[in-house]
Amino acid sequence: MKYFKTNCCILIVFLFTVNTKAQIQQGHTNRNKFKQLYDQFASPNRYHNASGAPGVDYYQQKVDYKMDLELDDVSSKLYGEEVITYTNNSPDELPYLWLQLDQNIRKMDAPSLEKNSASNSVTVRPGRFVSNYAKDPFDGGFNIEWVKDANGNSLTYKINQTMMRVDLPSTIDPGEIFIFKIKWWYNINNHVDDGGRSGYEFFPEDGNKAYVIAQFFPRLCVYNDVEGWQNYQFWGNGEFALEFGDYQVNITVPSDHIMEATGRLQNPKEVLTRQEYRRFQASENSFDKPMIIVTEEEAKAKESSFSKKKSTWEFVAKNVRDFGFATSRKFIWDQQAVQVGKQKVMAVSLYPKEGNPLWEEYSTKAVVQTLKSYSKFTFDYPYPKAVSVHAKSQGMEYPMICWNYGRPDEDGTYSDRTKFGMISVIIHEVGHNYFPMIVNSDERQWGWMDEGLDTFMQYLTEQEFGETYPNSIGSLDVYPSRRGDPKKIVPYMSGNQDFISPIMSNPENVYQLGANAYAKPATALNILRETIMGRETFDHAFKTYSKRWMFKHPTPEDFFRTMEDASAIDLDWFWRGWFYTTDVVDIGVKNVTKYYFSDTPDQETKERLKTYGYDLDNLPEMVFKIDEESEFFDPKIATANAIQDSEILKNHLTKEGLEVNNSTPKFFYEVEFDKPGGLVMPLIVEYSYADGSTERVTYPVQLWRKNEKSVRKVISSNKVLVGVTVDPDKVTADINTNNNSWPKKENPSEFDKFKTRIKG
Amino acid sequence: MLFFYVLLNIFQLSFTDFETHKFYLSTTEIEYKKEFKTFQIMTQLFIDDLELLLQQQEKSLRLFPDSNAKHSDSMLMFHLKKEFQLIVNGEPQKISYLGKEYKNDIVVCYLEIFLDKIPSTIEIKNSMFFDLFDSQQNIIHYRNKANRKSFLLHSKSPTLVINLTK
Repeated sequence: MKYFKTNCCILIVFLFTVNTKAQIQQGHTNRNKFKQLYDQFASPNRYHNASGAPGVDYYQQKVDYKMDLELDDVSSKLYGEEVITYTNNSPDELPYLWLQLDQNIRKMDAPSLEKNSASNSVTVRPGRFVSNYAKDPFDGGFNIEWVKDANGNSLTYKINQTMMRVDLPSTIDPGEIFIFKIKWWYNINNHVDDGGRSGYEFFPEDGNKAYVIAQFFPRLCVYNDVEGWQNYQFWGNGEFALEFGDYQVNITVPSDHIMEATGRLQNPKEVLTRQEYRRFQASENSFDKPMIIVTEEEAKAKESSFSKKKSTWEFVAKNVRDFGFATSRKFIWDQQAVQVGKQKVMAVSLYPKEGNPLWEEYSTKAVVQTLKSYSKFTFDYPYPKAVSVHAKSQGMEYPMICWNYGRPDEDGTYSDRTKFGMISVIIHEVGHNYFPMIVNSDERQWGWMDEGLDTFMQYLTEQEFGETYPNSIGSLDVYPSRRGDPKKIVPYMSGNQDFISPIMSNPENVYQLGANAYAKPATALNILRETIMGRETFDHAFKTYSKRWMFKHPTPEDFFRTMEDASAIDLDWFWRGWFYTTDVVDIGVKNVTKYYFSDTPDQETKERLKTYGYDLDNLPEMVFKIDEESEFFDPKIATANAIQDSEILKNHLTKEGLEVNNSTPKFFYEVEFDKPGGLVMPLIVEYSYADGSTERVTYPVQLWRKNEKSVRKVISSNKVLVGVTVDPDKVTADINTNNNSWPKKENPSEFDKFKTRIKG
Repeated sequence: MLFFYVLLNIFQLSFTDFETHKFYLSTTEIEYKKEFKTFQIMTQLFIDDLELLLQQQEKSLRLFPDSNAKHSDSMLMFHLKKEFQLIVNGEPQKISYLGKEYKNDIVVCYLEIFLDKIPSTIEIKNSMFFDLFDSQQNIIHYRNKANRKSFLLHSKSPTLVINLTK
């Protein structure tokens, strides 16, 4: 299949039609799919530079917290007093500070409770009826007792829904530090019954609660060059934008509780029994498997103790953006050490007996795999531990700690669905340590920047988990990832456009957040890696982005620009299409025409030459294209060999020192590809020949730059072309594969395939 | 033309950020195959929703893998017959249940209707899960050679009518 390339100056006359309609056409602005993205991007500046890196004047605020907390287990209340040290690294004078009060989303009069339209069903289940209409509404939200400065003087503050403005006696000037204190308490919600990313689960059999506590203290909003104060209200979907800082947190709970939290435990000897402490220390050097610190039997034995004594657990965390903790007397506890680069990291799991036997088997394994895989693709995990806590129906991340679902049935059995769901959610939530806990994008504004990147990394990690633990996937070939494979995004992208939003939308305003902010960006990145950039180039650029923005606040442009900056691949067309529009991929093969070359023109060509003013008896040296579908086509020519039977071509080949042999092309085809879909993509084609051989060609996406509806390619071959297939491996998320083959193959529908299978 | 535009936020999301699924939704594709005089129907339901529905009658029942495939099939068939109805040219149609298969967190149910006349009006009712979830929404995609129409059904509007003569 050599392409016919010679430098001889043979004039090959291709027939073309002339548009004779004379009409004045109107102009237009640039609507090219490859147009620069300047119209969408923020201008690069001294904070976020044009290569996608932090600029020379990049700054961010530092906020340190010292907190004393006490949990009232009986009445499910949390009390706290916090000292906040705010360092103004910005060039601006700040007259006030904004703090997030996320708990206020559960205030009885919270506007967020009414953010959705609602209607009643014809029938209502009794449980639902009671919670909707008969039960007292939950009295949630922060009760702020006071806000004071370092000297104990009261500061005035104003609460607007989930945001609190603290007015300052004088401005905090650039470089200045301001210290203030807040005392607060709130009623902890039951997260199983009432929802929420944190709260407690109540176990009626033994009367215990398991707490997973987060968004529990007034936290500083981000102040930066992009948003000013990021005080977009918390409505429930858009997650968090927070500053980095150091935390010192003391938490008082019943003394029979076991706790894990963001940060290193400072006083294990004080809060653990002697036996627990011995195991805790030994586990820190167990690199090959988890060691159990509190066994299931021990946890069960404590379920009825309800100790009246109290213990205070002390945690210290450096350079984190938030703090979370989990506490209960029901917790079983295991951990193992993992070597990540030069750092030793503890992979930790905490779960009630209701999670077993699943959690003992898989939780810590999933944490270990996540630390290894993510670190390979981004940076070495910089924190001392990563904890996976089992909480029913939860899947939520905080620095160093996360809550995950996956509960076996009461008899201890579990389905594959439960098992893979649990492993996947642990990988996902532990993975969030990288995005957004360390590469700290603004979650409230852009859900995809952490969820999309994390889901993409989750896909890679799940696949590696399947390779590391082949027993876990049983008879399957690969780990059954729900998201990442291009084929899996087709149902979403081909859906009703009325219910689809571009990825570049605020998470509050999209229809299917899972598909929009998780699956589609993850798939887009996977396609970018496998099909457009190649693994090595992509991995280098992705790592560059991760490292550039470690412990910083990147914007979407920083990601887009870095991926181009580190790869020398213009991706404006890709970002525009996949992230800023809801366009779809649909590329097909429209037509294949076979043609021949002859020393003598056919009747049609003669007519055409005459109109060009050629003297037919005195033509310059040229060969003529003879179209098989022309009405003047002489079938005799079909048996001829374009080159061997053409004196003109043979002479020219000889002049060039080339021989006519078996590999000299005999057959010529013009293949027309069309693109009903709005997205441009590289054109991947498989050509099949009569001798059974196939050839793969990937035409660059730039092929579409001058005509995005239709393009043609000429195939010259010494074999007969019998088939053309576009995207044969289904790697581009083409939403309609009925037009992907020539000769046209009607793909059996899913329905027909199923019918055949059940008959089979 | 009857077409449903829903401008409001139709998928009720809970607060957690990584759930098996966060909204109550089913999707049904109905395709009219003129050459076979049939409606080919694929209904996609979330497995956990269906499991919860079937467990209302039988607490120990499990899906994917099924604790008893024959039994769960017959229970599923019962619910589909009750909640999913097609009336063609004014006549209720008999729906044949071909089977189901699992795909990730979704169960796809395959149904077929054989017609004895050319359809001119189709009335579709799909009230699946309306008793179970207040915010359940059932999307219907109808397709024949020439047309593709989408509808959204919810408890206040569980039926739709397609007039094919217009």
